[in-house]
Amino acid sequence: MQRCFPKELKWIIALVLVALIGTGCGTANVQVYQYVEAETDYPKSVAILPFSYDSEIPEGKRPHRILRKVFFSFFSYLGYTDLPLDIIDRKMAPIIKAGVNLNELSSSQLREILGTDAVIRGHVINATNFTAAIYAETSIKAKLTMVDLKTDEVMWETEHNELNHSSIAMPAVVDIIKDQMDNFEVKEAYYRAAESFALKVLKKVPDPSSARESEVQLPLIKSIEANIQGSSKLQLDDLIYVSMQGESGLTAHFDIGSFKSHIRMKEISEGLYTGSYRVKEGDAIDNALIIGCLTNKQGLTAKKFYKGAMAVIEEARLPNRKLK
Amino acid sequence: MNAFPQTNSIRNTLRWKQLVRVTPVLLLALMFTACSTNLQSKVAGNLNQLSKQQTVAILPVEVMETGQKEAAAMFRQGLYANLKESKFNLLERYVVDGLLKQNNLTDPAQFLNINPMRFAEILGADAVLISRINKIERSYLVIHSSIEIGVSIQMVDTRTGEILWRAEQTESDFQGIGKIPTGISSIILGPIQFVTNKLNLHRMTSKLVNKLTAVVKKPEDAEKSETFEKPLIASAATRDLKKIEDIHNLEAEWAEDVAAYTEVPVNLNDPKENFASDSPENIQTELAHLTAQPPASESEEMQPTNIRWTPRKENLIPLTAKSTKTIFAQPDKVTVAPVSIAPVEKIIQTTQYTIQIGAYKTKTNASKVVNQLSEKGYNAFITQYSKDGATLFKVHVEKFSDKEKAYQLANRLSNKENLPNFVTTINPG
Repeated sequence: MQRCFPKELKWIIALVLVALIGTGCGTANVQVYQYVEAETDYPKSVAILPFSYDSEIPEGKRPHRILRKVFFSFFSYLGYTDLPLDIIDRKMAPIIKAGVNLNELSSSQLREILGTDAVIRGHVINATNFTAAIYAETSIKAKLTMVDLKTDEVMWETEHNELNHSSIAMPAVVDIIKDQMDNFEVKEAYYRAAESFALKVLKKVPDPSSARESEVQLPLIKSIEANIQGSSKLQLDDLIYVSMQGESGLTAHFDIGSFKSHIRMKEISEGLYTGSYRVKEGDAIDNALIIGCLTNKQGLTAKKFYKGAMAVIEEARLPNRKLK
Repeated sequence: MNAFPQTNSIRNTLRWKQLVRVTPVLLLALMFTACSTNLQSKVAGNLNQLSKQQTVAILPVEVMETGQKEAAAMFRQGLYANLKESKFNLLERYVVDGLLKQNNLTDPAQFLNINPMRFAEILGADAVLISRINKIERSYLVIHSSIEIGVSIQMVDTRTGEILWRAEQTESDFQGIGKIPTGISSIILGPIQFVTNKLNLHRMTSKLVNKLTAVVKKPEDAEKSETFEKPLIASAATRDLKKIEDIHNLEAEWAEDVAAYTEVPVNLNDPKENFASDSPENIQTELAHLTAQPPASESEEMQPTNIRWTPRKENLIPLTAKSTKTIFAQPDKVTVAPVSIAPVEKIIQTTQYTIQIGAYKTKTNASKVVNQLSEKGYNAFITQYSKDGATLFKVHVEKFSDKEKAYQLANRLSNKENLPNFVTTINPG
């Protein structure tokens, strides 16, 4: 019988297959107990609690803060309304200061303190940062759990070990040296490991984005008027007066282009908001449009431009200004 | 025991010498073979002005090929994660995507052609981040494989159309003989692993976003070469802002031109048309209906009153430059306090609309038209206007607080009396 392939080719094919199998790794195992599609009342707002760590992790090599920060940054891509970390920390500070273990707080207590539908608890089980002659590794092993504060049920949980390492098994000498140099920077190495950790875990975490997209609705602004005219130039002490009609009971402000923003407007009658800005000395703007803004309780802001005229202020100066 | 200690010592010295020779070669190899970045980034000074009060929307990323969608999502996720640490707020992705879908803006390729002001009204964002994956190239040549990613990005202030940040970046890396393989099998396996493992593309994208966003997170650190010399306005915004400006200018110019060239109409009554229903009495009745709200005299000061809201039907039609009377109100009171835009004495009056029929160089001609109109039952009057030493006598018909009613009469005058006209605000001067 004649040979189909030369021996060398078989050897190469085998190597290629081994390489392909090797490239398939790199996922996190996330146990999901509640799926977005199945739940009508799926939690929308989430707080990521301060992560705890195993006491055996040497001081100075505890990546719990880095992991929490990085996880929060990537988590914000999902369709949850996430409470900023500094607000969470501020709200939890008195409890932590009182020596209360966060794990001992009940769901109802957490809901009362944070005002969110769910929390994510994190515990760093192990962390390493090690560099030797031909070997370097940084790893973070942590357990994360998301708990629905309304039902006290775990929505998903994961225990994942993220390992970034380089050794003689690496295909290139240059990469080994580079990885070892990189690994010396402990903080950066942990950041990289935390980033990979977050990306792998979040790939499998239920994302309510699609379900929430249709719910999004900006406040309604019916119309906006301003007293400025066509090409007239504003001068010192002139008053730019803006009135806007829209949904009642919301927060309103107006901007003069990007020159002045968040000029407060007051609701003077149902749905009618007014505000004004008096031109001050030194003000100078070129063709700025007046923009009315209306913000609802969810923090969503609607904007409407007054296109009837553009504000022009050639640097406002006091007449007969005396020099000192 | 070693019988030849001296020989061993010589060997060791030679090894060290070899190592010393090899090390610079390795370092050189590192310098040349490490992944390369080509980043061109410029920011505007106004990027510094963004604070937590401002919201930025990261729009879906445009791709050149359908196979790049996953990388585009990765890139966008990286942008969200990195810019979370910036000085401004980020509009949540589901909000951005939801609002874009509601407005049928699902193709990222359109985004650059849309006026940023429209994004402000659709998304409520102060700035938008428009980006594109220019290329993702993977090449494999048995002992060498490489990946190259190219992106371009632009952040535009939706309030002004100003480009706050513009960047282009290419990130490339490779695996193969150039990186000194650790063994014979590595020569073959390394390039395969590198080009097939999705994690490598992930790592490169992550690295790319880190470098790309560094200047946006700390715009104050931008060097002079990284800063725009003068404000740059996005082309879509320039086009639309120019349109608005042109409309304002045209209206003002048109009003002046019409004024300068109006001729005295020969006869307002066209015998060919049946004006049976347009007797002065009928016109008076119609006018009485239109002017149900008595017009304020030009000199009359408005007493404080409740604000009467008149929604603007078409915002692109501006008030003419010549009008100076406007609705004013104190922001903290329900009543309107009299103030004017003039800095000396602030007097507020309600906007009065009128229909301008023509403007004449002599008062006699203007009076002739006024008489003809009065005979027809219209409330016509003359205002004087001076420009560059020349005086014009403008003929107006009626005064309205309601712009809509002014337009109704304007239509009637052009349709029934064949009089070209336009609605304007009353010029107190």
